Amino acid sequence: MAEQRQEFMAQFVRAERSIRALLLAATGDMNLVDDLMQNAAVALWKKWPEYNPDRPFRAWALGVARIEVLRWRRSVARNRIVLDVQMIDQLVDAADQAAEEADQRLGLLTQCLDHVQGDAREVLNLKYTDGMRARQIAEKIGKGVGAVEMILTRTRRALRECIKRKLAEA
Amino acid sequence: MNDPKANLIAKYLDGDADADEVKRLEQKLANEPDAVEELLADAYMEVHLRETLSGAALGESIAQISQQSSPVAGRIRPQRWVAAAMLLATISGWAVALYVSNKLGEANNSIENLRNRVTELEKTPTPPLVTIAKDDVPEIHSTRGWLMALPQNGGVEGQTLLTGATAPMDRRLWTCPWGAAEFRYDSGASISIERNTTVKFNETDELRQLTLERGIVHVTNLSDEDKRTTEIKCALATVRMVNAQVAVQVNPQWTAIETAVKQVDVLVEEDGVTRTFTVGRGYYLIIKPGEKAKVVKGMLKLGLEPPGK
Repeated sequence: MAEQRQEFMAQFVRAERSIRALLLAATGDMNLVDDLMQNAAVALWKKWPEYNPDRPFRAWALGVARIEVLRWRRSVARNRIVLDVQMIDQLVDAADQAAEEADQRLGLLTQCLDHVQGDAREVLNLKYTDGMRARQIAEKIGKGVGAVEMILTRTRRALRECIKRKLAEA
Repeated sequence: MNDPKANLIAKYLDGDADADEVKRLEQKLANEPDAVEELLADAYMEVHLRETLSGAALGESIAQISQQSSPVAGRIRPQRWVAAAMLLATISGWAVALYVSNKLGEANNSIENLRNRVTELEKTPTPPLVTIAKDDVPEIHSTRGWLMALPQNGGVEGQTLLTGATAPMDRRLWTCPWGAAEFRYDSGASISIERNTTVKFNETDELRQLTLERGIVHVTNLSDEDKRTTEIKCALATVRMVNAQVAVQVNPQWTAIETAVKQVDVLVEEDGVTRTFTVGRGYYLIIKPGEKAKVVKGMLKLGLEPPGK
């Protein structure tokens, strides 16, 4: 049992980032991602005995996560506009394909973040470390919501460009 | 440079898109060849940013809660816990021990620090830390996420607790923000603690005693043969029950006690006088700092499950 868990966790940890990205892209709600992630993790563990090791784990795990997304979608679709099932399926396929490059980008992101300083760094920390929304950040740092959104937009863009540049250099 | 598609995706991923914007995004995903890849690339970046920037924060959070002495004085900002929850979910799965024996993708400084911290916690022996000399002791029946005995002054290390161990006495136990744990006694009595809850067990011959600093606990003792009193101590109240089912919630705004089966007595100190309230099924007692405690008809829905479910 312990060995099975260990093997499962080794696979799961490698795939987890992709599952999170899929859940976020499919729901557009980071707060929901943690709950769905938990459901997906439990579902994966339950289905683990059925997993065929000849098949890539990440693709299998994304398929299981898709079921959790669809279940969530059914529960909220009457009251909320959510992405179409066909779109979600496209995201599942693309999430698997994008995983390798995304993982490569993570290392570069860390380097690029070193160049983000001042207001931009503070806004990033408040958003991603403290989980604040733009309005809360604006109150905290005494700027307008529009200004905070602008800082976020510019910083994300700068980070994307920095990563692209470093990828090209590599 | 203004890029409407990038702005729309950013708004959607921030959870700020309204219904029309979600529809517009869906159209772009359907009609523009790169839109799906772009949405995913940005989603990956959001996940990376949270992971990277909250990495250092988790170690700090553990340190903070380790020193926290009361639910109010040193409490962690809830937003910080959102980040901690994410990261814990990222690294822990069901048991930190499993994570430690594996790996966490690419090493970056913050994640590496965190891994070292967790490894350090794992070096200490597995429970039980203290075994009490009684027949009816709380055993960890199940856990989800991370159940941890917090570090103490005097160099006592923190450690994760696993199913099957005896609950350590007089140690502050904490469930991570997506965790939970259930303790069971030989008599059948059980204590469940919900996520982000801090408790401490102290037992005497007459009492099953639980100190609840913050979070939610459910206590169930429905065996008529078990006449031992269970006492749940909180900053604003002490709950005493023999055979009943009760949930208690402590947060900085209030303390609430809700009974699902039979009744419990709650001792509340008001203006230097101790008042005793009896809270029966279908009622809850709510105590807010600086206000009089009051019994209210209705259910708070603290997650109590009637027996048999």
